[in-house]
Amino acid sequence: MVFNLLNKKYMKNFTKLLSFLLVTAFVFNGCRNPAYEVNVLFDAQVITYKAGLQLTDANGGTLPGNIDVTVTGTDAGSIYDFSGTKKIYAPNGVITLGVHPKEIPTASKTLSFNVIVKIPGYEEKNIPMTIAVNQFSQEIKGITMVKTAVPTPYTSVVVKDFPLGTGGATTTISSFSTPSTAGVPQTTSIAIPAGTTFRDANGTLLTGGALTAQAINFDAGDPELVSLFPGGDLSAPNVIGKDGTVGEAFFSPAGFTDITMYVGGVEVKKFSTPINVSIQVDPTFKLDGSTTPVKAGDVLSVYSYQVSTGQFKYETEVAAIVDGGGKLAIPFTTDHLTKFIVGQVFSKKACKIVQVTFIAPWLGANSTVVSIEILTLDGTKRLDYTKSQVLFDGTKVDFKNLPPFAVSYIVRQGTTAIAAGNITNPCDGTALSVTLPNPATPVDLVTLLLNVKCPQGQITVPRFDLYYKAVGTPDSQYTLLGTVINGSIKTTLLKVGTSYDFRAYWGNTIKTVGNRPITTADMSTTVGENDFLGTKSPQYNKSLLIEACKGI
Amino acid sequence: MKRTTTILSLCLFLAFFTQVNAQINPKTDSTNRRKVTLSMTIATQGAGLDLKYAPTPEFAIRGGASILPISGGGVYKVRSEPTDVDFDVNFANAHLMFDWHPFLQETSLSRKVVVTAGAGYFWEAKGDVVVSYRGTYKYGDILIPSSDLGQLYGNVEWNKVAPYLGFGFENVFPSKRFNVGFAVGTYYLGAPDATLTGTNYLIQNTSNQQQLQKNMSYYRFMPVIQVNLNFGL
Repeated sequence: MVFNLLNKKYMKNFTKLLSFLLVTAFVFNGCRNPAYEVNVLFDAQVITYKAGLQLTDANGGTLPGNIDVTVTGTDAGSIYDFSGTKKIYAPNGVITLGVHPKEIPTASKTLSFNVIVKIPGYEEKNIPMTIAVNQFSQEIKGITMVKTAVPTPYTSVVVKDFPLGTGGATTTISSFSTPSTAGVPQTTSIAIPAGTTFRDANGTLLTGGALTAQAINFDAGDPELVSLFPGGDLSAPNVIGKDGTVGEAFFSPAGFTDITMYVGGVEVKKFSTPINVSIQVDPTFKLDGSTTPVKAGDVLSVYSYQVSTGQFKYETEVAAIVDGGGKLAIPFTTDHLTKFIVGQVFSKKACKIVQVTFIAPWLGANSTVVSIEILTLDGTKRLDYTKSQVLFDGTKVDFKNLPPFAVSYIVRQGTTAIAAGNITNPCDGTALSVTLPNPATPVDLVTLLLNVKCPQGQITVPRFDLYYKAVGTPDSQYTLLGTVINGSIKTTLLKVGTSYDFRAYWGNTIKTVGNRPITTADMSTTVGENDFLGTKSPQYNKSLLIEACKGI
Repeated sequence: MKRTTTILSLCLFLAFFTQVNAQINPKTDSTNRRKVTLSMTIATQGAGLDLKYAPTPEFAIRGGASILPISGGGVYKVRSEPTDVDFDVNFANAHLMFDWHPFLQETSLSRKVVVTAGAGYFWEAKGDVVVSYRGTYKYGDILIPSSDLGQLYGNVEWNKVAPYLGFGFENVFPSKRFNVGFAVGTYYLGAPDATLTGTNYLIQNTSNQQQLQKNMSYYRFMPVIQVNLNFGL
């Protein structure tokens, strides 16, 4: 028998060996914690609905850092900074807003809110915005900020002091006009009758040694007017029309003036006697969006605008006259101060939004950024402008700011027009498809992928907008490259073999990476506290990373 | 944990009992040996039934089945926040084993040693876990409650066929029809397939699946500590 061959010694060793094998199996089985280096990742793509604003100085200067941004209106409670904070940041004038994930728009509810921008020394802005269901807007709306006392290529300014008599009344007729400049040849003239007294917003009589009067006249014929206009669009949702009802309307401005006055540093809102205002009309202005130039006798509307409420209000209708300077003008009187717009106003109460689908199969999974300009049919007047629109193949964009008359559109990549056409009836809501043709020269499909490692493990990078420019160009040339999603962006805008400067905004943080060469179509990199932290400013990057890692 | 402690205590007690039994019945008595035995098994791989046929005192062939359905849960800390972990483990197998008593000539406890080799077919060899984060996720000023965060679903599934090796203590010549045996061994299940998926705000955790798979690859053995309640037929 085989077991007879086993003596006592062998038997003991055999038992020990078998026991050892089993103990080994027991001890080493499952010695690894199943959760070892498994880090629970929370999806950082919390905000899916976003909207952007790009503030720029009208003179091309750098905006100060103390930009105050607040959100008001019906759905203000649902709006956050894209970084998730209730405080809205505007680093370098870039405002990125997001919608709380539990309060996103639905088919029956479009979110409406106003963004109030205050910068000391600049005109206050009140920008009405809407976000509709499935409108994961990647549009960046351009807003041009104008200094109140400094002329720009699009504005002329006059500031003048008038002595006041007893009781704070003017002693003589006090007249002043904005200058006629190369950029703004038209003027606005104001005449205050003698004996006029001034009151503030509360109706309190203002007394003081002098009245400081100021007027800013805008060039209504300049394409930049769209971003200078109150709200940043010629289309406005909150307009009290001639019939007294409130609704959406489209402005076709022939003249636009902002008049302010102060007594003893307090802003004047009302007068004891109406003052006379005469706004010269843009000579290129055409009626009804057609090719018919305005002429003397044509009746234009006068509307006022209150920045605090974002509301336009019908004031009067006036036939155009030829003034003493031989130019067409709209004279009217007013007993309050505000912004005044003269021109034509078209109700959009019955209008439906035109949704445009962009077809570009050549993009694959990549994105591109285009500008979209809406013009009158004859192409002479800009009616709406989107500076940066991120497009994928099949992206749907709502053309919300169209007038109720026929228009043309031009889609540009950089300065090159890549698609154009007409929209015959922008008010009927008929969907439109715009095909972006294959590029004449093949584009590079470049992927930038950023993996971020925290001590707790790899994290998912929240969405952020990435800007780029050619190396050596000024900062004003930064343009939108696209939105980085899950740390990745696929774009057609970069060329392999070329270096770029990149800039990202997150909350109040600005991160710039200069002179970064695109060496391959797949630019993937991993950064970590103990890994690669960049070559330009690793310590700063490390501090950013540590801060970011605290949040997970 | 309490359940495991109880089972281990029982095992130790029975092992001690078996040893005592061995000391008071040192002699071989072939007339008491029964060739066919029905065993109820209580073990770490579950409870079951075995039918053993021993044509000779040294060798036996044994077939049977066992099942182990376990459900449970607990609260753990993830990111300093309590996290609910619910698991559901199911093992069920049919097995065929060969027993060998190599030391029957001995007079000590070693004469009761039985070496077992065989294999099991697991028609169930898997575990599911659902992880629910109780805390609130903060994204800036946006607070996302646990009810909206979603859940993590983990699944681990082993091979269906697994070899077995082990040893134990059995009285080949019991004086009564009923006796107790004890076995220790292990199935080799191989590295399991592990999946990890998340919902809502935990959807990014699919990227952790590879790490989980790696971690679970250490769990190739299924340890067996078994008590046999034998009834000679």
